[in-house]
Amino acid sequence: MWNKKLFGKRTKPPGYLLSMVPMLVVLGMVFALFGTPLAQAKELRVGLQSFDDGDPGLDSYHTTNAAAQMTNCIHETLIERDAYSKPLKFKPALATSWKMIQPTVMELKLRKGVKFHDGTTMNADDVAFSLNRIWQRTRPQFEAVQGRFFYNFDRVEVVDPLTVRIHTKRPEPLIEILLSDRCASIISKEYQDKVGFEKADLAPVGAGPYKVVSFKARQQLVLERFNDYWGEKAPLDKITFTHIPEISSRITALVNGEVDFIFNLPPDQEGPLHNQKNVKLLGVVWPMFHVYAVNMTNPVTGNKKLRQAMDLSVDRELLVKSLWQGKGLVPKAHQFKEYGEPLYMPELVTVKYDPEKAKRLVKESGYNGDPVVLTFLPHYYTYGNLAAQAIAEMWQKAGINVKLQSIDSYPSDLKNIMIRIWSNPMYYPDPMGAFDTHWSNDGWPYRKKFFKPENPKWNEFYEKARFSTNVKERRQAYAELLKIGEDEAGYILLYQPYESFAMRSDIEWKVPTNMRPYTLTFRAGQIKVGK
Amino acid sequence: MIKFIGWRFGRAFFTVFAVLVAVFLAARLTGNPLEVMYPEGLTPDQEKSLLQQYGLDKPVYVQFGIYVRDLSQGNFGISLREKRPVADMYAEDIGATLKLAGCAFLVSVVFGIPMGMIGALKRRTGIGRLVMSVAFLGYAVPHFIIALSLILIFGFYLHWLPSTGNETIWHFILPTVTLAAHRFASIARHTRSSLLDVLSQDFMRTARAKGLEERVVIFKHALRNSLIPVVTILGLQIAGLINGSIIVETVFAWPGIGRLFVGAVLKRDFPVLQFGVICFAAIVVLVNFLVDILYVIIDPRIRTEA
Repeated sequence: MWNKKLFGKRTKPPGYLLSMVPMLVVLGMVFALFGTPLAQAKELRVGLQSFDDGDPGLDSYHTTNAAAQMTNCIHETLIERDAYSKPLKFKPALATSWKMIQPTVMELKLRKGVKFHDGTTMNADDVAFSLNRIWQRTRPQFEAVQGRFFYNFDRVEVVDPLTVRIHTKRPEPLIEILLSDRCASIISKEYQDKVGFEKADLAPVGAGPYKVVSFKARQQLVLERFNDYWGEKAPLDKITFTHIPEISSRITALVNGEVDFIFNLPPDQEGPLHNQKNVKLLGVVWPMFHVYAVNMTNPVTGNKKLRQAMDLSVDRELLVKSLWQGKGLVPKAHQFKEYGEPLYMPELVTVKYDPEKAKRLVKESGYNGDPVVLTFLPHYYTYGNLAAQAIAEMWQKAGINVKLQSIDSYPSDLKNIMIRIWSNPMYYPDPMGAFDTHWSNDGWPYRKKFFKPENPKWNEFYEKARFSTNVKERRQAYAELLKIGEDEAGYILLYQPYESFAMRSDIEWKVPTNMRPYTLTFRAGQIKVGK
Repeated sequence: MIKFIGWRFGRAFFTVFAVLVAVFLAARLTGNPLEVMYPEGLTPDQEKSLLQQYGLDKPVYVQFGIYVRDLSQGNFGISLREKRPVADMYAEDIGATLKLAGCAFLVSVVFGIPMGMIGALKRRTGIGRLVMSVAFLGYAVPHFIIALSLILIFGFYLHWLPSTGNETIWHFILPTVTLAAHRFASIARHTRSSLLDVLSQDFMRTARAKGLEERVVIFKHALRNSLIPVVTILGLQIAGLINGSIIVETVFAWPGIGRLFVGAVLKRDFPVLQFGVICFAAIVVLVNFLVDILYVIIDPRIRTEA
């Protein structure tokens, strides 16, 4: 009861105070429900910038950077490539042994009793199904993977339930490297037959060390250790890949303990993480070039001297210093040290900066001042828009009338595109892993008449560099090829980009140098989490 | 009344149909979806075969006719990218968006109306000015700036709140505040101006002259009357909530339809894009339709005018 003597006359609270009651109730409800779950010791939560690159499935045939992040855990190949060894080593995986029985035929003995994630047992029919569908281009979806890796592969022949023969169209010096690519993984035929191609793509069944628990396109993938895996069991109980496109959110999620592992951090985003407790950074210069592909059949850019002038007037040192804070790498030629000896040739220099010669070449070319249109994707490549603006300035100084054009995707018909931005990652540790996968006669630049070298020696050296079984001959031919490439100037290498991984400080992990960029290796012996 | 409702229903139907035509044509003006789906190109035969498979090889008016026919049969199309019914895709993600939008709506109302009242009743004091300054900021600052600022302060520096996902109640706070900011500010400003308007009316003087307590004058006479225009704008806020969720869901990695929608635009997934726009338009039109009917019930003069 209100005591008037003690407290005086009771006054009513003002209206605005009463009006705040509901606010306080809502706040109270929110704070009463406090509680944030903590990650389990053997769980890894990965925050991904890119989740599907517009191609949402996880079947082994996907060649996108986004798929490479995840499929390495799910799928298994016949031959396993050591992720780090120099020189490159191969290990038995779903095949226990292999040998060439003819120049174009490899016979492989399959491992007995290998289980797929759905419990079915692998046999030769699964191998034939998985690879033949790609090699025989049974769907348009297989076009990219077939053109990039397997155009020389013909078919799989089933000899008996545990023996297969792989036929190539001609002798294939890269047969082990290509068969150890994750795109050559073996999937369950029975499962695909049961659920169909589309459903299997979104809920894949492989034979890798982790199985898919749930996959939500654009959002999240949850993997669990596959206890029936044929080899050494996976070190993690569970991996959750979550799509966190916004970089600030991804960094905060790591610092906050919401995720354990993030990447795709460009140099200017490393700063906030330098002094964070329990977080460590791991920088990498990717074996990848950002490239300008120049249309060699366009009336303007078909002029070789003009293309050479464009190539010579790009100050890559300046770009790396100003855009990449000096952490990217200026290329000397279209090659990466990851090839190892003897195929990497550090002494070879085909990428040069000579603005004076560029000016001379512009004059000699007979260039009449027609606009040279540089078409770029503004947000696809890190700093790609800034680089385009800077390079346009450099070309202007050389006397070229440059116009910038920003588009969201390139059209099918490229005849009106003069210069487009691209990247040339090393898909496998061999000169062909970055060159043949982009500039072969089966790649889009050649098919769409964007890339058309005039030098008659091009095909001769290409042939040797790609198919010779003599390593020295391949090395020499590749050097010659790059020299011709410099003269043709159909591609302008910009730099090798630098990015950082950031992770909980108790995670031990290193970048796999024998795998394509963005491959996340979380198999036995490849990651340690906690103590 | 039935004639009025019939007229308004017809207008609503026509509006949705006009949106359907617009989005159908606009989507096709963005270009060939196969260019985005297969960036490395296809052979002419493959391209022809896929265009046939997706029905994109026919003239646009034929495609539109087929689409309308399918819609009338409850078939909303199959996603070009995920090869799944688009209705299923939206059904999976709409829950998260509705939860977020519902929280944002609740917060904006619960905070916006009292703040507007404070702004009106204390308009010449510091607290009144402060409240309206906050409302002004909420109105003026874009969603993504608010979102990133909140992430930086409460996530990165203070570690108080998570910045991604939707697992716990704590995950709701930052996206809800971000999404509610504009709505809250709008409601507060409308409440304030409406209340000030009502407070200057003759009947308020009469109420006070009757000897009513100030609390009763404010809540029973002033607030009730001032909320009529505020209730009107609440309906329109739903459109803003869905619009805003597109950015908020991207920044906070919120698994709702906002990201589905953005993905459909970027990847030219026509069926997903069309369905999203039509649903969005239908919701806005439906809310307006209901508000129109509500008006008639509240104020019969509108019926006469109609």
